[in-house]
Amino acid sequence: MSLRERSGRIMVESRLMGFGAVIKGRIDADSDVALVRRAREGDYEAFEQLFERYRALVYRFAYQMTSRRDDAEDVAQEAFVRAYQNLHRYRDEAKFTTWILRIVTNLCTDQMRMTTRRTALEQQEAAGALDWMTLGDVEDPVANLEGDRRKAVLRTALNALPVHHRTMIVLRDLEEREYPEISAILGCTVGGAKLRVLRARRALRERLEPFFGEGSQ
Amino acid sequence: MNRKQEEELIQQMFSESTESESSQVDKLKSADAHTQVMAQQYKQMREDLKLTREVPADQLSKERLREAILKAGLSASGPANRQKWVWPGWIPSLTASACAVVGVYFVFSHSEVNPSPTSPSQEIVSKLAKQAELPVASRFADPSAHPLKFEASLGGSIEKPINPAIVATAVPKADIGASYGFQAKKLKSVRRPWSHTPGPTLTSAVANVDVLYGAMSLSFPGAALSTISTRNGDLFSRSGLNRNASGGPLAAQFKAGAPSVSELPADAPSKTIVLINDGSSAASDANQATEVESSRNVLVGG
Repeated sequence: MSLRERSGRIMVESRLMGFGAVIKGRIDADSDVALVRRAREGDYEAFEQLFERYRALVYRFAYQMTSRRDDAEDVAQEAFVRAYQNLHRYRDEAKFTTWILRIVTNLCTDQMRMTTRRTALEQQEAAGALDWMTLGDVEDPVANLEGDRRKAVLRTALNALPVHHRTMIVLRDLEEREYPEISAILGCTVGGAKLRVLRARRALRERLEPFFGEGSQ
Repeated sequence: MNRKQEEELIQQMFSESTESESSQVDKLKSADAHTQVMAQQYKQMREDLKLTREVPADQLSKERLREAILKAGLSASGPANRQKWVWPGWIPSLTASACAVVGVYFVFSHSEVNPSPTSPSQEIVSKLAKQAELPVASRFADPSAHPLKFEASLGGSIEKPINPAIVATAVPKADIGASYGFQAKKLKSVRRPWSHTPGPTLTSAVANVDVLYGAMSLSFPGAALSTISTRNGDLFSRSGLNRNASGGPLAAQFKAGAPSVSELPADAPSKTIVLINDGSSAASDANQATEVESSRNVLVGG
C-alpha cells in the first residue's frame, strides 16, 4: 500500500469515527439518563419526552394490575407525577423503566389495598359492560365468544389473586420482564424473584382449576 | 407429585427449564397421568395469559400530566426548585447555647458584691453626710471602731460590716417599688421606730429587711448585702447572694432632719433623684427630701 493510499484510508477511517461519535453523541443526548439529567435541571420538555417514551409501558402495566382503564390511567399519571417530584432520588445506574415500574408497582399495591372492599359483582358488571367497546374480532364471532370467555375467566382469577402474586404474573408472564429486572423492581434477589413467580403461577392455576374443563367439553 | 416436581413442571411449561430438568419432567409426565393433566392446565393458562395482554387505548396526554404535576405542587417539590443548600440545623442550637452562656455570665457578674471601698456609692454617701453633718459612711469601714453599730437591735448578730454600696433612707415602703418601677414581693407591715438617734444606724435597716429582700430579689442594681441575720432567718440564704463576699454592708439612714434640697449647693448636678423623707420641715411643713445623683448606689430602707 502506497503512502497516498494509506493516507486516504486513514482519512476515511477518521471520518467514519467522527460520524460514529456524532451518532453516539445523539444517542447519549437522547438517553434516559440524559433526559433525566435535563429534567432534573428544570427542562420540563425532557421529562415530557420521557413521558411519551414510557407512558404506554406504564399504562399497560397499570391496566394489567387494576383491570380498569380509568384506574390504570390514574395510576400511570400519578406515577409520572411522583417520578417528576422525585427525580433527584433517581440514581443513574438503574434503568429508568425499572425505577418507574417500581413506582407503579407501589401505587398499584396501595390502590388495590384500598379497593379490596369493592364487590366482585361490581367489577364484573363494569368489565362486561365495556367489553364490546374494546375487545373482540368481528371476523370470527364464535372464536370471539370463546376467547372472551377465557379472558374473562382468567381476568377474574387474576383479580382474585393477592397483590403480590398478581404483580409477579403481570411482570413476568404479561410484561415478560427478565428476572434481574423483576428483582430490581421488587428489591429482591433473582432467586427470590423466580421463587415468587413459581408460587404465583401455582396460585393462579389453583384459581383456574374449576374452569379448565369447560372449554374442552 | 411433590412441590419441587411441580415447580420443575411449571418451569418447563413456561420454557424456563434446562434440558436436564426438562427430561426429568418428561419422564414424570409419562409415568403419572395427574402430572399430564397438570401440565395441560399450565399450558392452557399460559395461552390465556397471552390473550390478556391486549389493553384498551389510554387517554393520557401531556396536558393532563402537566395539570396533575401543577396540582400536586410543582413549586414545592419539583426538581427544578429543589433547594441545593441545606439549612444547617446546628445554628439555632448554637445560638441558643451562646445566649444561655451570655445570660449566665451577665447574671453572675451583676450579682457579685462590689468590694471596692472607693465605690461611687461611698463618695455619694460621704458627700451627703458631709453636707448634712452626719457621720460619714467610711467611718464604719472598721467594724472594731463601732462595734455597737453592727449589733442588730433585734438581737441578731452581724458577721460582717455592711457594704457601703447600700444606703438606707427613710422612705415609706410604698414608695420603694414605685421609685424603681416594681413592687416588692413581700411588703409586710413593718413597725418603724420613729425615735432614731441622729446619724446612721442599723436598727431600722434590720427592721426593714423584708423590704430590702423584696428589692434585692428583683436584682436591684448595686444592691449588695453580704450577710445579716434577723429574727426572720437568714436573709441572704433566701436571696441567694454570696455569703462570703468581701466587704460588708453599710446602712445609713437619713433621719427626719436631714438636709433638704434647698440646702444643697447651687452647683449641684441637674440630673438628680429626690428621695422624699417621712419627716416634715418645721418651716414649710412639707416633707423633707434628699437629693442624690444616681439611684444605682441607693438602697431604700427604714
